[in-house]
Amino acid sequence: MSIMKKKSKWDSQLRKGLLDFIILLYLQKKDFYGYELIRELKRLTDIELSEGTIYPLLNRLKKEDLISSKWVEMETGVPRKYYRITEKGRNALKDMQISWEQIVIAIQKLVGTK
Amino acid sequence: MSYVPKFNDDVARKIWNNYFKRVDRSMRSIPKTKREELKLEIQGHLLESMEDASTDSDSSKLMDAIDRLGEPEDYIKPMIADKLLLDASKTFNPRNVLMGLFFNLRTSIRRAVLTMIIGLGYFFLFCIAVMTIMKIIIPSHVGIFLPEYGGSTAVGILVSPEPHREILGFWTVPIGVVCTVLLYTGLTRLLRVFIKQGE
Repeated sequence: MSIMKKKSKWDSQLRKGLLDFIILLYLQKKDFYGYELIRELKRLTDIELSEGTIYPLLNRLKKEDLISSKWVEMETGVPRKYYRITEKGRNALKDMQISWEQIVIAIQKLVGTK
Repeated sequence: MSYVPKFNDDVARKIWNNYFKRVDRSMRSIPKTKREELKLEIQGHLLESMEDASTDSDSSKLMDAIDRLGEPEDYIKPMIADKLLLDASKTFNPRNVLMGLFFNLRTSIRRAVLTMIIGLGYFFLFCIAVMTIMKIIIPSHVGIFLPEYGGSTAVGILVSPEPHREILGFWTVPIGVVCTVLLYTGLTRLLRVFIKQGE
């Protein structure tokens, strides 16, 4: 396996591992429906992911009571299922942000050490 | 609660119906209300994804959208597994426990059977490769042997081939090489798909 391939696999795994965190960060700003969230995720993270994988993820976050969902009727077409962050989700997000900052600081220290 | 869009071509309608037949099949073990909700969410997703496509016909727009969304079996199964395990652990209902166990057992058996098939395939490939090399070293002892005076047909390496007649001759070598290459490529591709599904 070439170095580039290894790098891209590592990069993709890293981004995928952060998906829960990124989704909660988005939902903290406003409510999103599935397709809208994927569009944003792709735009921001450039992750090569099969769009369907978002649904098990949202399903899991919902089961953990970190997010809730609500159907909204549209004037035309199919109703949309909007996801919203819960109070428990906001608390979990605060913990995630603390962990994230600690990891970033630790890695930056390592990267700076030669 | 379901939505059927109006397509401008028959092919798109067929693709749509086939895709949602697979979605229905994948969701058989979840309750009807949840099933209809998820189906509606996927339908909405596909329709919006089609609007973002740059192609003209509904069928190519739909195929592109399906390609981006992925196989229903891949994204629905993790949801079912999660749900069954959660129901089983939350409710203590023996039916839920049995369903959870059965679903996980079925997934494990499927993986075990596939692993066995791929493993046997590689073993068969190894045998063909060895036969091909041995044909060059001891040609009269290797190949497909038909019985001269009754008995059974034999394939492989025989220590004393005397009562048999070898029918492939030196063709054993090119046929062996082609089979080895084809099997190796096929099995390795299958293995790659198998590993990817498990990720």
